[in-house]
Amino acid sequence: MLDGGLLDGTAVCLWGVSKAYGKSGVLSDVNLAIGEGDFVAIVGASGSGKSTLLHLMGGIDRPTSGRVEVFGEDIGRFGDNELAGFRNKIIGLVFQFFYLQPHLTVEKNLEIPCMPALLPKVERARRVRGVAEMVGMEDKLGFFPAMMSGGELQRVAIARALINRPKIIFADEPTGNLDDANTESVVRLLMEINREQGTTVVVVTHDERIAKLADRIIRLRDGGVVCD
Amino acid sequence: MEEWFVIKITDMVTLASTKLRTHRIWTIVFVVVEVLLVTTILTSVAVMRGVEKSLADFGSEGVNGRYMVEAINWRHGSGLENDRKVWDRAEELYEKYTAEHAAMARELGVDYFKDSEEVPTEYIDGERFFNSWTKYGRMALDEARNEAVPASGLPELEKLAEGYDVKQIFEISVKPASGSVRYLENGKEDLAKLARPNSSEQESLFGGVTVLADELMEYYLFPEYQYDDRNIPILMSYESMEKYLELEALPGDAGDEEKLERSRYLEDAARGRVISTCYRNNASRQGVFNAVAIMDEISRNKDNEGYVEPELVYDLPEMPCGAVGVAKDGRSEEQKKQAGLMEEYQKRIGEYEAPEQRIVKFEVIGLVHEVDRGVDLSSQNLWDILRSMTGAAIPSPAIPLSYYAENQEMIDGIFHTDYEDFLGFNEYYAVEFYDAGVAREFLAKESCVVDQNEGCATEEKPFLLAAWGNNSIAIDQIVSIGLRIIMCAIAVLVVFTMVSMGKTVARAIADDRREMAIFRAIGFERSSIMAIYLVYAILIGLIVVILAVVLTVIVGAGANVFFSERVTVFLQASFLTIDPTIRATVFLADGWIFVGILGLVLGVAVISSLVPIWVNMRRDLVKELKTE
Ligand SMILES: Nc1ncnc2c1ncn2[C@@H]1O[C@H](COP(=O)(O)OP(=O)(O)O)[C@@H](O)[C@H]1O
Ligand SMILES: [Mg+2]
Repeated sequence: MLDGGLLDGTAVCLWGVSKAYGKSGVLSDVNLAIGEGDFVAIVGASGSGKSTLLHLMGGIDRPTSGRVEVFGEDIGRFGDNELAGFRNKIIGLVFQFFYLQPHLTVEKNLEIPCMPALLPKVERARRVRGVAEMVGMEDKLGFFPAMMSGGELQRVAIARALINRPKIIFADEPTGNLDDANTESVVRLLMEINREQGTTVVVVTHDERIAKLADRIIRLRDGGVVCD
Repeated sequence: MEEWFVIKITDMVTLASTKLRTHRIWTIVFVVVEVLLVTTILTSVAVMRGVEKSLADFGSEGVNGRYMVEAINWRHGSGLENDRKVWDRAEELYEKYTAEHAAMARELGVDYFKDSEEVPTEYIDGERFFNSWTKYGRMALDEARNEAVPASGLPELEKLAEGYDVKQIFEISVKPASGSVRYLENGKEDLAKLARPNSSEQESLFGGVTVLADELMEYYLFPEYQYDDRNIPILMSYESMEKYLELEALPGDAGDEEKLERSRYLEDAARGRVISTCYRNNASRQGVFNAVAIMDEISRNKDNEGYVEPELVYDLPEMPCGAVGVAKDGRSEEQKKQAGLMEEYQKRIGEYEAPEQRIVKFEVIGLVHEVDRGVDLSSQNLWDILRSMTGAAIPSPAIPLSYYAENQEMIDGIFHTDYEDFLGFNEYYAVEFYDAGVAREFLAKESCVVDQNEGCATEEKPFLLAAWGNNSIAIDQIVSIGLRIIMCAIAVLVVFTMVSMGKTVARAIADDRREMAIFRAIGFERSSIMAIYLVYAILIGLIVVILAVVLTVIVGAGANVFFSERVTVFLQASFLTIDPTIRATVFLADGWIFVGILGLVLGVAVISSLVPIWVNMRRDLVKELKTE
C-alpha cells in the first residue's frame, strides 16, 4: 500500500465501499487499493464477504454505496453493456467450479470470450493457441471437458480468462476443488502469469499456503478489511 | 442505442446448438410430435391438392367438372290427391264425359257400357278412394294443379336466375315410349313374351328417351365415332347394355379392376352396335295380345266338342314386327258394320288409335353409367360416399338434341305422352354456372322447398333445384370443408408450437441460469445471450421443418407409388373416363403452400420463444454466480 501510487499504477481502488443484501450488511466502508502488477490474496472465513468483494471489484456486482475504480475507470458509471465490454476486455475471471461449457471442445470454450470482442477468425485461432500453450493445454484443444481432470479444467479456465489479454485476473477459490498437486501447479501458473505478463492477479482463497505466496494478503472479517 | 446482437451469427449457432444436447428427451419428444403434426398437415394439403387435381383431370372429360343445377317445376304434392274437391271434380268430369259418350254411342247406334270407363273414385269397404291414374282423375288433378300454381318453363327460370352469373341453360326433355320398344332377338320378335300380360318393363329396351343437348352428351360418345342418320343415335347405359348382351351383372363387392374391365368390355361391344327394335303402339300391342289370347283359347279347347270358335281369328305376323293379320273372318255383315261403327265412335271420342308397328334401329353412340344421383352420406363406407360423389349422372337412354330437331316427327311418333308428368320431369332444365359458389348460392336461395303435401313449386320459387349431372358442387364443398379442417389443424399446430416452443425455450433458460451468468461475467451483453436462445428456437424450428419435409416427401412418394394405381382405377370406374391415359395424382406438393406452412412453423417458433426470453432478460447475474 505504501509503495502503490493512488493515481498511477493502481489497478483497483475502492472508496468507502459498502454492500448489503437487504438489511444484512456484508461489507461496510471498505477502502482498498490494489497496485498494478500485484499478486494479491484475499482470505477470510466462509461467509466473510470474499466473493462479494471480488464481484464488486470485477464489475459483476455494484456496491450499495461507495466507489469502485478499476484502472482509473469509475465502473459504477458504466451502463450494463459498457460494463460487459469492460469485463470482456480488461478483466479475466476464474471460478472454483471452472464453469466450462460441457458440450464444447476446449478450443471452442477458449473462443467464447472472443465472441463479444468480434475478433477475426485468424486472430482468434492465434490467441487460442497462445493461451493454450501458456497453460500447457495445446494438445487438448479437441477435448471435451468431461474427458479432462480438475487440474486441466482449471488450466483451461485460466486460459479462457487470459484470452483477451486482461489487465487483471480475479480468481475466486481457484483451487478449492483441486488436490494438492494440482493446487500447486495452478497457483504456480497464476504466479507465472503475474510475473511474466505483468497481469495483476487477485485470488480469493482460504488456503493459507497459497496466501503466503502472494505479494500481499487482504484479510476480511465482519465486513471489513482487518489485516493488510 | 448500442448494437443489439454484438456476436456473430456463426457463434450464436455454435452456442445455441450446445443447448440441443441438453434437455434431450424433452426436445426429442417435442420435435417428434411437431414433425408428425407438420407432416400430417403438409401431407393433407398435398393429398387435397392431389384430389383436386385428379378430380379436375378426370372431370375434364365429362360434365364432371361443370357446375350445374337442375330445375324441376314440381308442382304437385300428395295433398292434391287427397283433396275431396279434386275427387268431386273428377267425378263431375266422369259423369259429363260418360254422358257425352253415351249420347254419341246412341247416335251411332253402338252399345255403350259405362263400366268400360275407369271410375275416378270408388268405395271399397265403405271407404272412398281416389284413382289418380285414371283419365278423369288425371284431368281433375291437372286442372287443380294449374289452378294452384301455374306451370313454369324457361322464361320463368331465366327470370329466377337473373342476377346470377349463368353460363347457359339446357332444356332436357324426357319422352316416354307411347307403346313398346323391344329389341329383336336374332331378328325375331318374341310375340308370346310381348303378349304375356305381366311382361316386365325391363324387357322393353327403351321405356323412354331423354333428349339432351349434344354438348352435354359429347363427352360420353365413343371417341371419333361417326353415326349415320339411318339409325337413331342413342346414348345407352352400361347397365342396359349389359342386360342387352345378357351378361350377368357384377356382384356388388366386385373390385374396381373388375368393374373397369367390364366397362371396357361393354364399350367394345357397344361401339357401333345397331340395335334393331320393334316399335308397337298400344293398339298394335293390344292386337298381338288379342291374337295370342284367341289362339291360346282355341288350342286349349282343341278336344272340346261343344266349343265354338270365335268368328274372328287373327294371324300372328310372319315378318318380325309385322301387322296382325286375319286368319278367319266368319262375321256377319251386321257384325262387321257394328265393328265399323265402334271404330267410328272411338274416333269421335278421341280414343281411336290405328295399330302401328315398325322396326326402329338404334345405333349406340356412347355409354354412361346409371349412377344414383346425390351424395349418399348414409353409407358407412367412405369409399362408397366418394364413389356416389364422383360419378356423373347423365340420363340414359338419351338422343342428341340435334338429331331430334331434324327427326322430330319420327321420334315423337315413338316417344310421346299425352299427360304432363306429375313431378314435372317431362321437361326440366340444367342451369350451368361459371362458379361453384354462385351455383351453391343459387341452389340454396332459389330452390322451392319440397313438401309432401303441397309439392314444391310456388309462384316466387317455381323450381326444385338440385345439383345435376355430377357432383362438382358437392366436391367443391367437400374440398372447402377439407380446407377448413386443415385450417383447424394449422391452428392446433400454431397453438401447440407456441406452447411447446415457449416451454422448451423457458426450460432451457431456466436450466442455464448459471451458464448465462458466466457468459455475462465474461462480457456478453444480455441481448447477445437472449439472441442465442432465439437462434436455439430457430434451430429447433429448422430441424422440425427439415424432418417434416423429408418425411412428407417420403410419405408422398410412397403414396404416389402405392396408391396412384388404385386411385386411378377407382376414378376411372367412377368417372367412366374414356381416355385411359389419365392418371390420378394422390399427392401433389405445392411449393408455395409448403413454404407458407414451414415459414409459419418457424415464425411461430421464434415468436413463442420471445416470451420466456423477454421474461428472463432482466435477471440478476450475481445471484447465479454465488454458490455454496
Ligand atoms: N445474493 C445474496 N443475497 C443475500 N445474501 C447474500 C448474497 N450473496 C451473499 N450473501 C451473504 O453475504 C455474506 C457473504 O457472502 P460471500 O461473499 O459469498 O462470502 P465468502 O465468499 O467469503 O464465503 C454471506 O453471509 C452470504 O450469505
Ligand atoms: Mg465465496
